[in-house]
Amino acid sequence: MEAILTLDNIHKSFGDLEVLKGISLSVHKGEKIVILGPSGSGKSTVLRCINRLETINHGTICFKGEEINSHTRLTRLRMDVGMVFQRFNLFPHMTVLENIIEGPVHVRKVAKKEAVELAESLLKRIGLMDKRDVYPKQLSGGQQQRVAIARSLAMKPDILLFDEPTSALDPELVGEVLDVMKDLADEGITMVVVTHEMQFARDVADRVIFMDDGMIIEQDSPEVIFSSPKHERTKMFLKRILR
Amino acid sequence: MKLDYSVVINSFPNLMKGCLVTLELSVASLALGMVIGVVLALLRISSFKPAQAFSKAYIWVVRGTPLLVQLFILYFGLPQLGIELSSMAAGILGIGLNTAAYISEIIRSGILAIDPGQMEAAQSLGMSYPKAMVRIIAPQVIRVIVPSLLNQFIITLKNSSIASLVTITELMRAGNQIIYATFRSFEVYTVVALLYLIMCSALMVLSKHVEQKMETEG
Repeated sequence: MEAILTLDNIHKSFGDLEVLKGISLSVHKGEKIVILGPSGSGKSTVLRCINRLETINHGTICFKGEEINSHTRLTRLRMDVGMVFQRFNLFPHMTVLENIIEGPVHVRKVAKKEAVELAESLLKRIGLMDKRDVYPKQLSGGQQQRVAIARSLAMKPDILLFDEPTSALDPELVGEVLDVMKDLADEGITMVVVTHEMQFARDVADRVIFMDDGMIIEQDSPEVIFSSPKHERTKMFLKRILR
Repeated sequence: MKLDYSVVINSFPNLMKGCLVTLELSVASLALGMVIGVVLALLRISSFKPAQAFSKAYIWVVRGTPLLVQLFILYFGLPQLGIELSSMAAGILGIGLNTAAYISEIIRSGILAIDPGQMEAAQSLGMSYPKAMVRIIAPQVIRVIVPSLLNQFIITLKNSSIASLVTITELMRAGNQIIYATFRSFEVYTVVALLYLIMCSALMVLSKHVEQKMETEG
């Protein structure tokens, strides 16, 4: 299978602190990757480096066969790589519908009518059609995150990146967001997910990557990672988490 | 001594004309102050160091010197360099440039108050920085800063009385002229104060209205 996104030897420092120490990673079309690791291991930073919400100090990123080395290519990558944030980051001055059509209409230049049709079909799919015209602050966290996922999907991305999408949610709201994500996974969308939801990793991931201290420690199928991890650090992490 | 407000009634048309000039002066200064204020704020948050430095220096000088001195430099000082401004031009320029510094600080703090996640979300949709500023950041900034902005408008309106000293016949100077002719300081100044109060109150009511509207809309 062909790699759609390739990270090669990515280094990233915040001041003197090196948070990524040479990350290399390939994402294949249709693949679901879950990145696990203790907080501060750099897993969110990896996602943020992919669409350059963080600058990288060293290394290359290739997307659909092109190295991301110019502004034009970065813009194209950002249009084609969706991002779902921990804190949702919906636009508070826009209704749910306006949030979803913002990218298609003002970035992709899709006709508004067409964008609205797509948005409505997405809203039906996430079960929030009745919230079409309300503002984000009138929604629960779980509903906001589902809208944020719809906003990303409206761009018809090649890959969706999830940066701890359920970490800011009340426990009883986590399930509805994970259900939407599982639904997407079943549909074959390429996903890279940073999460602490172990059950999701087990159920959905094709590959689990364990990171610690800015490095990829090991990666394998969830069966292998969860039942017989090779590295001591992975074992310790899982022991703590799965206790 | 008895108070006699009849002098005020007789010269009321002059006071009204003064009010009009005060409003003209304030509106023109605020318009100029808004435009320059937005530019200064954008320079201040840009990543281009000289632009930041310029904006910082501007605000430092304006905030650190009295408006009266600034106006005197423009009106009485510049002619020595061969630049002659009419009193109204000097007044608008002086108050406008002065207000710009304060407005830029209000706008800057408004921009900084917006969650950085908003810009990240916009950019991760593929939006350019200017487009994200216009479509995502600016509408939110405006909501945040309207109350402080209206407050600054009130301050500027009151400060415009200082322009009486560069011979603009706005409300304050119109009042002074009546006093020179009638020596009725108390009556005239209390009415002048009342007229300022009425104009400022209109802005205060507007400010309250906007705040309430924002509270209900969120």
